[in-house]
Amino acid sequence: MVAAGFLLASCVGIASPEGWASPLAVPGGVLAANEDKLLLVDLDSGKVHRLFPPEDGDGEKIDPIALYGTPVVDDDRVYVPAYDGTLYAVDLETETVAWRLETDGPLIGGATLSGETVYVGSSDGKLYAVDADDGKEQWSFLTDDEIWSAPAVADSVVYVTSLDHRVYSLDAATGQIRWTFTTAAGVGSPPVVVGEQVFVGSLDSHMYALDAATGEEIWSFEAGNWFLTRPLVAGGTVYAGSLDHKVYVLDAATGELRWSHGLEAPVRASPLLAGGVLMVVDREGNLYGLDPAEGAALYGPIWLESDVLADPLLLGDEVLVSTTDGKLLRIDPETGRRLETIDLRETE
Amino acid sequence: MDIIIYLFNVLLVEPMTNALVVLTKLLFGNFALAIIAFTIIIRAATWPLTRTQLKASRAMSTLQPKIQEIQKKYKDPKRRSEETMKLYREAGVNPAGCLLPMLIQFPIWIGLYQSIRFTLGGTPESLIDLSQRLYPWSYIRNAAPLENTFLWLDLGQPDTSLILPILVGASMWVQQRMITPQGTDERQQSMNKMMLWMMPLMFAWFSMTVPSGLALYWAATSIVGIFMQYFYMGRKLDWRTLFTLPGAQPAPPAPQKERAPSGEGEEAEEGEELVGAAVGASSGKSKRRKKRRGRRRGKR
Repeated sequence: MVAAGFLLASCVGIASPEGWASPLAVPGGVLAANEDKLLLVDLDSGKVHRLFPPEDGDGEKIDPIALYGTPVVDDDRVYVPAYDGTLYAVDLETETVAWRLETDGPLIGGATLSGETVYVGSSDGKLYAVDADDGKEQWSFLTDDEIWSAPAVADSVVYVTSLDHRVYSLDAATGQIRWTFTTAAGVGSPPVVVGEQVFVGSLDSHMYALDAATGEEIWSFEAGNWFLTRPLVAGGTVYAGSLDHKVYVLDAATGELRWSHGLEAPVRASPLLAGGVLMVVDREGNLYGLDPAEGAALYGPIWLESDVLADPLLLGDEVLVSTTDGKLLRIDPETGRRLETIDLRETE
Repeated sequence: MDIIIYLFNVLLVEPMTNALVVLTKLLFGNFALAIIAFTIIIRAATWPLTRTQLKASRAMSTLQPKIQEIQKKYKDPKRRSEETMKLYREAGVNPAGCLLPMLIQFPIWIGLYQSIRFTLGGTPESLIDLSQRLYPWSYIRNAAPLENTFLWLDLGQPDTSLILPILVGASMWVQQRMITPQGTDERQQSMNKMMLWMMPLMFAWFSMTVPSGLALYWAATSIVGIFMQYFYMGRKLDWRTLFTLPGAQPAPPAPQKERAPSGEGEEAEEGEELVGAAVGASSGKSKRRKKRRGRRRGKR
């Protein structure tokens, strides 16, 4: 019994949140997250500079715990949703926290900026609309469960998903509810609005296309496991990875399956179109280059030597992939060849 | 090794994980109630093993005086060992009888711990792990992620209020106390006392560092164990004597109740070894009560 106790204590600890924030292009480089740090990477020199949280100084110590939500930037600030439940507005020039919004639950989804307002959902179940200038709360909307995804804003309407099984459409200015759509399980992936349609994947294993005006279902497609990724919608086609180890390509108008491709592991990172290649990275870090029209393998799987949960970023003619072991990989999307590996743990 | 881990996951962890999810759905979406219900089911399913263990423990305890005699009588370790084994054979006792059922239960416990860990999650990444372990039935798949709060507890995080760690320690102490045999010498008593305190304190400490869902399981399994042992003992537990520590000096006797001069060995030979016999042995009243129990047990 005692031996079992020690065994348990050694293998059943509290899992540490690691984060899956995606890289983000900013003037002067790329912002990339590594666990609880947001780093500014100069791609020309390969130098990594810690932007947030500030190095220990005289001020209050900030512990974001982890960064899951991808930050959003405007001209001179980056808005960082952190797992400690706080949205931080960080001045890019002074690298100081301009303001912060504290919520009652971890921030797992990303922030969205529209006009002068930052929208962010919290695990306390609320969607917050915050003045980007001073951080004052404009309104908040309470759902019945945690919010794990970034909201989407289009035409003065904000769309947000919740683990309470619903997709919400709210007036962006007031937070007044316009419509809701209920799925059979929690919704943890962010909605994507294209034209008159809202595309969203659910933990009921369905991808839905909804009418943006009314919330009515246009079509749904069932996969073999949950959708926890942001779908990519381009050229009348929906590309979405599922936790069933497959990437699905659907007709955006009808939901008809065009093709699917089996992968080695579940997919959390969003697919990406670069040139004539659909790039998909599964959780175990296997990179695939697929023909977006037919699904034929152009290259891969190429193992990136670490797990990948963050969405990749297309920057010019290369793709940046952030791995869970703290590396930022520069990859040629045409061939899948790794151009450079930047160690995010080695800050200047 | 990989095949063992694979089989362990497929045969134990995944069925348990899915069972926990189903129970949560059946019990109003309350994961804490699911843990408690699951604990009761597991304890009931492993009751034959527990009973074997208790039986062996009881038999071993009964033989303690004779083992002591052998140890005093024979100085040669080999001879001592032979005589001890002979004693076991004659009494029909398997010394591994205490350990084997416990060892068999270890994988079940570890599987259950793993299931709770997967099901509770605690981080967004763990939801992906959970998705790979759920059976492809919408009834189960659509249930996740589960509500992980219960009363003041976040079941995926340690209980910082210390209430649950104290409950774990106390319930484990009581359960351990119920099966702690009366040692016949100081060394035995000292060992018993150490075991009596070490495990509850250790698990209370673990409870401060592991997800409170696991601590809830420990508390539930101990409390269920207490009831099981109580009924196994024929509801003859004297709760008043439970809190008299083994080897502790007895409470000052009432003037009319003189301490019995001796006879612990005799009583042990009568088959009295569980709590009623193990504690409060020095009061005449307790001794009389123990003898009555011993006789009744003898009749069974």
